[in-house]
Amino acid sequence: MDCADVLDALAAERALTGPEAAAHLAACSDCAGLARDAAGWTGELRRAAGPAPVDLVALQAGLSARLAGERGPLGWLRSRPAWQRALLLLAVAPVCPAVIALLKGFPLRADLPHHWLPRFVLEAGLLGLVLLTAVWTALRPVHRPALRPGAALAAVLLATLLAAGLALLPAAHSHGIDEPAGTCLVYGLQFGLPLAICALLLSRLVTWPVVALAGLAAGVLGDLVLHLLCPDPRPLHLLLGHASVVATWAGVVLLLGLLRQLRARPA
Amino acid sequence: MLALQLLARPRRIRAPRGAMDPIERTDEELMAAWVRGDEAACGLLVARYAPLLGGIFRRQVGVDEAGDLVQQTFLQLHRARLDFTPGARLRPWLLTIALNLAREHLRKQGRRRTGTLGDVDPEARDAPPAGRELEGREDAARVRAALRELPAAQREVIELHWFQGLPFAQVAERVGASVSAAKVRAHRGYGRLRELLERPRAEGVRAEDGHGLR
Repeated sequence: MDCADVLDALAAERALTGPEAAAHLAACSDCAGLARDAAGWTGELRRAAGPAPVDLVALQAGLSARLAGERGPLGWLRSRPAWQRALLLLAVAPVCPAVIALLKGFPLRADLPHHWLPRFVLEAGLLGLVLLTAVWTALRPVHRPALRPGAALAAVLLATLLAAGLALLPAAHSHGIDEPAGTCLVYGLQFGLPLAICALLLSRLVTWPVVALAGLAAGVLGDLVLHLLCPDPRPLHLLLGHASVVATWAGVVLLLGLLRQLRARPA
Repeated sequence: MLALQLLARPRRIRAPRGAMDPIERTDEELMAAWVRGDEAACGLLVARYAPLLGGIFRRQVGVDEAGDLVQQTFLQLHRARLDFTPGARLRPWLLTIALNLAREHLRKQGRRRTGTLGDVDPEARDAPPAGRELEGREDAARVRAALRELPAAQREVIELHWFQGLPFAQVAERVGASVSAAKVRAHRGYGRLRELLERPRAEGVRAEDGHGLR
C-alpha cells in the first residue's frame, strides 16, 4: 500500500484496515494524519460533493445567445477540427512574405551557391520545426490540458535563444552581400504579423500562452523567411537583423503578459 | 435582406421538457447527434451536465461566476464539437474544458481566490434555510472556501479525484501531469484541506469579522 492507495480508500469510504495499511500508516505520518479522525473532514467534503442547482432556462437562454454569435464565418472557422485550422494557418503563413517578396522583387538568396547546403537546410528545418510546433500548440484543442504560462514563457525564451544561437554560428561563407540589419528587422516583423493575427482569430480560447505562441510563430516565420531571402551571412547582421525579429516578438508577448498581470484585479 | 435577418436571428436551443432525459441516450450518442446538427441533443446535454459543471465551478472559482463559466464550457464544446471522435467519451472532455476555463478565469482575475472559511455563501445569504439543510450549506461553503485556499494545481487534482471519482491515471491525463506528480499534489492538497477543515467553525466566524486566521 502507498499514499495514493490511502487517498483512494478515503475517497471511496473504504476502511483502512489490514496489516499493509497499518504498516503504511505507521511509516507515513502524513497519511496517518489524514486517516486520523477522517470521518470529520471527509464527511464535510462528501456533503459538498453534490451537483449545484442550476437555472436551466436562464442558462439555455444565455447559451443560445452565445451560440448565435458563432454563426459568422469566424465562428465557422473556429469550429473546424484542430488539424484543419493548423493547415489553414500554415497556408496563410507564406502568403504575406510571398506578396512582399513579389512586390519588392526580392530574389531567393543570391549567395546560395556559396552556402554549404546541409547547413542551410538544417537551419531552415530547425526554424520550420519550431514554427510547426508553435502553430500546433497555439491551436491545441481546448478539451486537452491547456499549456501553462510557464511552459509558454520557456518556449518563447528557448526559441529566442535558438535564433540567437543560429545567428552567432561562424559565417557560412565570405561571399555575402551586405544588407542593413534594420531593413531585415522591419521586413521580418511584417512577414509574421498576419500569421499572429490569424492564429489568434482561429484560436477557440485566447489565453496568454496562446498569444505567446502566436507571437513566437510570427517571429520564427520572419526569421525563417529572412533565412531564405537575405544574402548577408555575417553573424552580427544575423543577430541584429534576423534573430532580433524573434526577440522583438518575444518582447511584445512578454510585455502583453506583464500588462495582463498589472491589469488583473488585486486579491 | 430577409435571409440576412434569418441568419442573424438567435437560435434557441430546444430545452428538454423535464429535468430527466426522456430518452435514454448516452452522452456520446447525444454528442454525435449534436455534431450532425441536432440542437435538441445540445439541450439534453446541457440539462444533463449543467449541475455537475456548476458544482465544479462553485468549488473551483466561486458561486457568483459559476453560471457564466458553465455557459462558456458549452460554448467551447460547441466550438470543439467537430474534434469529437466516435468512440471518445464526452465526460473527460467536459471536465478538462471546465478546468481549463476555471484556471484561465482565476488567472484573469490575477489571484488565487482566497476565500476564508468564514466567507458567507451567497446562496445561504439570499435564502436562509433551516436545520439540516443549513448545516449542509455551511459545510459546502466551508469546503469551497477551504478549496480556494489551495494552489490551483492541488485543487484541480482533488476536484477530479475526490469529487469526480477519477483514478489517478485519469486525473494525471486531465491535468497534463505525470501520475506521480498528480499523486503528490493530491497528497499535499488533502493534507492542507484536512488542516483547514479541522479548524473549529468559530475560527471561520472570527475570520469573517476580520480577526481570525486565514
